[in-house]
Amino acid sequence: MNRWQQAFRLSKFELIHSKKSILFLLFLLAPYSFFLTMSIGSYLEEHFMLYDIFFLLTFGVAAIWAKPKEYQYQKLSDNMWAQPFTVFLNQLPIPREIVVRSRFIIYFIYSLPFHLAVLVIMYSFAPELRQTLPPLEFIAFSLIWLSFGICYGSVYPASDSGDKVTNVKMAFYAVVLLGSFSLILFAVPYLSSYGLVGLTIVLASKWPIVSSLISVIAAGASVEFWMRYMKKHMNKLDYFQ
Amino acid sequence: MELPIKLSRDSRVPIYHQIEGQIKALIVSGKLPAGSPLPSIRALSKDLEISVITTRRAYQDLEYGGFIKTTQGKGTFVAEVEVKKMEKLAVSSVSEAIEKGVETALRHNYSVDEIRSVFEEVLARLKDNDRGGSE
Amino acid sequence: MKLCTQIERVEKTVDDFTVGPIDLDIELGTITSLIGNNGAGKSTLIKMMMNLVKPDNGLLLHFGTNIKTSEHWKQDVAYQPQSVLGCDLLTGNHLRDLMAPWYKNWDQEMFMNLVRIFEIDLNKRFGKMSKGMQQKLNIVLALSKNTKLLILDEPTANMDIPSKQKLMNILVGWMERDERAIVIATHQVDDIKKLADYIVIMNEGKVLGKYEKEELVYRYKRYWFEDGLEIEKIPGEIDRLNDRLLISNNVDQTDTFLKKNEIKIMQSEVLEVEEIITYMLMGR
Repeated sequence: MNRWQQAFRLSKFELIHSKKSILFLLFLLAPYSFFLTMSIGSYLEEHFMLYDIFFLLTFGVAAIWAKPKEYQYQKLSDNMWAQPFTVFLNQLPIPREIVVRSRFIIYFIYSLPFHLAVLVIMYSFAPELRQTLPPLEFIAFSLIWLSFGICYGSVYPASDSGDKVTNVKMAFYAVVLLGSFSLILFAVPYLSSYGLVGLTIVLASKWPIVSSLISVIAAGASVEFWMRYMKKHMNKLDYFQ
Repeated sequence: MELPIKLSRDSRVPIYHQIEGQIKALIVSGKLPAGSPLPSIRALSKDLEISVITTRRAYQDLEYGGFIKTTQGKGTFVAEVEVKKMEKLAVSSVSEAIEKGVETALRHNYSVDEIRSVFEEVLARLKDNDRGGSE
Repeated sequence: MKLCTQIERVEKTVDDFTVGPIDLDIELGTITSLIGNNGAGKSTLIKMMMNLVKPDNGLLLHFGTNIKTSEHWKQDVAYQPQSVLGCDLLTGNHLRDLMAPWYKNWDQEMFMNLVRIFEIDLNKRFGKMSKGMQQKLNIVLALSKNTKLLILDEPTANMDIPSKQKLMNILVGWMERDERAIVIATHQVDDIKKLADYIVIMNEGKVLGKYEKEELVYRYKRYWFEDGLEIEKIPGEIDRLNDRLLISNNVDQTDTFLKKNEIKIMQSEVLEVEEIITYMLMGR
């Protein structure tokens, strides 16, 4: 059996309890896509930051919220945060490689269909978007955002293996994250006269092939990087729990 | 408990020696005839609350003495013991037991005559009991 | 004796608490019980033996393999932690299906047999089971992995008395099957008395010693005297409860001294294992 298959089989033990969560995610899909579809027209006329923020939230964090609480990344002791099931698997003779892959499979089973659905709904119900982006260019646009979902989202499975987190460290990460998002949200309109989403629309329609290629490569590289990081990290981290 | 072995932890006789002696006594008295299975080292250790190291030592001694034999995969069994050897052992274990009793008496500052009279008394009583039991 | 596990100069510091340096060998065919007060470092040592906590220094080998550089040894080591994380939604059947394929010697027959003995409902979610039932399921899973080494961290703390008795016999039977070893951290006197061959005593992160059980028992003795003791300190003395009752941890020295000074002993006896452990942990 190859490693991805073994990893998938392992993922099933968590996914069997995730049906409800995935259903809940579909339920969340309605208001998200409603907002993103209804306001795309006015956004295309004049960009506004709330739309960009919402887009980032949808492709960045929305998918993780739906997980059952037993399988969430959580505080295990004073300064240890981890996903408990991953910690448990670490005690068994399952190669790390396979544990790591299963974490990524689980996350992408949550996030990818959700992201894809948002994009498809937007394109089906917003004529303004169809006018701006013909199908091929829309595919490039989708790839850019799916890739963003993968690049940014890889942090979640990678962190399942656990971190020694102090409050100071946690606060530091929060500041860095919020800071960099704000920077992008402000810098893009300042430098280009587009909003963030608007800029990706421009990229997709001007250079559909190049932007698609870069997106796919970036996604692959990011997954590869975080999987390696996670394996190394598990080799170093102390599991007292 | 598979074997009626009673250890005295306060005795000066080492534990493995006590086990050895008592299993010999069970064999000599006919309570454990040739071919009867003995508990495994681990099981006896658990029952007697001692380490397998001690039990193994007792079993090894018994095996060297030809009282028991171990068959790989089947377990440990009482061996055929020559009648002569049995008789000799019976004598020595009786004298050992009496020796112990005499030692206790001496520790309590009994005189030789006192010990003798206690011995006669016990003998008479046990004989009586024996007769009472069989009638 | 064949070695199962070698621990050499293993050390771990967390905040201001250091466990080690620890030197310890585990032999195949033996049961070693780890004893010590709460916080003595037993669980940390066990977790280092599972490579869950990584030592700062030293070397840890299972069956001759350095556990840091390989993952293969995990096949031959089953581990029952004090508390299991992340499995609350899984049933006994799920856990079996999850674990069994990863152990080449998994014994399904033993598993079903033990499930019957402990009356475990395999369709119940782990999180819905009582603590005792969780421990039963965990030990059944651990035993069925059929490994050479079994590491148990307080496996029976929440079990009922009949189950503890059953488990004792099961562990005895388990040890018979092959050349195997068990390491068990426990506070249960019965486990120590009935199962342990070696006792490893830990205190404040250090191993005070590894003793064969009988060796330990014969070190200590309690003496009652006919007359009150007038001597200040007797060689080997570690405790005096009144002037007629003395406890020694060096029987030879004490006996020689008593004989030389013609002190009459009314009676003497060995100590119970738990008394000995208590004295040892007090540093006597």
